[in-house]
Amino acid sequence: MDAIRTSALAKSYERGKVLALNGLDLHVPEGSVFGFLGPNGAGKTTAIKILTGLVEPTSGEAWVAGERVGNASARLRAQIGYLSQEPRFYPWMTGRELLVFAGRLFGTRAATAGRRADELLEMSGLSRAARRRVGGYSGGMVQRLGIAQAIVSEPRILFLDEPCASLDPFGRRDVLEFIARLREKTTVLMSTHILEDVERVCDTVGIIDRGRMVVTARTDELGRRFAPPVVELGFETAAAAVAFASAWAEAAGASGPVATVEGEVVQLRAADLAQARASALRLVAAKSLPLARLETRSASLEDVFVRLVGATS
Amino acid sequence: MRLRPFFVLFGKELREQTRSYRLLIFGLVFVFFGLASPLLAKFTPEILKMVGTDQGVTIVLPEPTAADAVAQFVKNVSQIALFVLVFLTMGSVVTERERGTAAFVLVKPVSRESFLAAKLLTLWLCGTGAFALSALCAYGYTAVLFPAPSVASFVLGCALLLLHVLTFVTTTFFFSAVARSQVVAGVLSFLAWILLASLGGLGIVSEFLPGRLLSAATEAALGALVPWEPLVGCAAIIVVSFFGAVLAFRCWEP
Repeated sequence: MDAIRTSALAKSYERGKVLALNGLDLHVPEGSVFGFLGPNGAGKTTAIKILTGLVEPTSGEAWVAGERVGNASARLRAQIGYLSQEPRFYPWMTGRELLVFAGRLFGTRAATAGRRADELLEMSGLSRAARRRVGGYSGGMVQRLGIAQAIVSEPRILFLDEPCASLDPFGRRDVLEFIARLREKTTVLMSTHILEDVERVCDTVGIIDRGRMVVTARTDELGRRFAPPVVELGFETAAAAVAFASAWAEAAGASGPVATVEGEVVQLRAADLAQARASALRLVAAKSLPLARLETRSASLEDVFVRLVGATS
Repeated sequence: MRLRPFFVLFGKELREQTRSYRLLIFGLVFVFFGLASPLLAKFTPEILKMVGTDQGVTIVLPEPTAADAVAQFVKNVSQIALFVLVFLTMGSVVTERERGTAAFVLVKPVSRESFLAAKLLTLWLCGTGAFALSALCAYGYTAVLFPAPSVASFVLGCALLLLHVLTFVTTTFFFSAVARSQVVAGVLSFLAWILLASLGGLGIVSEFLPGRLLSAATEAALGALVPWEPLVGCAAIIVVSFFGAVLAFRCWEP
């Protein structure tokens, strides 16, 4: 069952001149950690704002936790948590006060909200700063407080817009581990630019570009489906790499596997990797080129991203 | 509008007014004018007489009365104190929109109506509290310096003046919900203030304007009857301003 579903969702600004979303069809399975990937301006933040009821779509429909999305839907908002791209809180409140305030907005009693606030402060490593004003928090502390307030009500669905944006490597690791722990209990939709984060915690990935969903697939399937493994040859000089690539193009012909050169490295994408590897080695030997290494590697999410988004761009 | 989130927001607004010292400023400004008005009414003629004597001119002014003290209080509150009040109110909604804190609240199960109502109620409460303190000071000093006016009449006059103040607080609040910046909200509020004041010469319409409340407040404080027309006019402005703010805020997108 889908926890989040959109159908032909569109949003335009400036009387239709700027199209932020252009018929977005999104399906996020319940209990998944969904990585929402896309280049800058692809429409990720707009989509999240619509799904959280902050922004009305120009056309199309969306459902979150079975509720139809609209900014009047308090029932929907009672089931979600949200961390914005640049979280902003009341600077005069202390960290603890902010979490108690956020909890009480969900109808929680003061004592229960206080206990939950302490628990979250502990979990996010902010216990020592609990009674300090939020205005004096560092960027990373604000981000961690943002995540804490987003889960204050133990939401069914959690929207995180660039959750690791301003975190140091330790903070990032903690947040990703924390997100991974939420799996099964909470559906997480996480937008990010950091492909490594997606590979680390997301089980499903959706790539959005120019307001449209380019592809949605399980993370482990994505590489197999959209970017086959590559044979990578590292030469001692860039000239050798270029010489290999032109010899390969001549030998393989227009319909053969394509060789791409980047500095001293040549990449071969082929359906039959074993044959490509054997042919490459024969060509290196025939031309007496100074080969430093040869390896076969699976395509990374970056390869898939560049390939799919590059194709639409 | 669910009540629990409303009270949570209301509590937050009250705390914010206290922590930002706005409540203190509200109080100090109003208390100052409460104390200064009877003093000004009492001593202005004497000051003028002294200035005149120094220059060899004799200025003869009638003996000041409690009516002058009340008129002075009404004038001070309706002009300078109101000016300060607009400054303190003009950022109430627009600042939250600009800073992004409105989005943080509105993504929780809170209606936009509750968000606005909690803010307006807090502004009204702070304004009323500060005004009550001011009126108390004004009455006390008036009673010390002049024969005291009737308490009931004075309270009635103050109620009319308070309605005038709250009407302008609500229109400023409306502009704060509509405008894109604090400055624009403030400018629009002052323009609305000037516009309403300049409509005073429009025959029957002027009877319904908030400005009519000022003369009614002075008269009522000294025992005259209260006209109904400005009460209706102010109530209408308050209702239209609040619902206008709600409509504008419903369309706002962070």
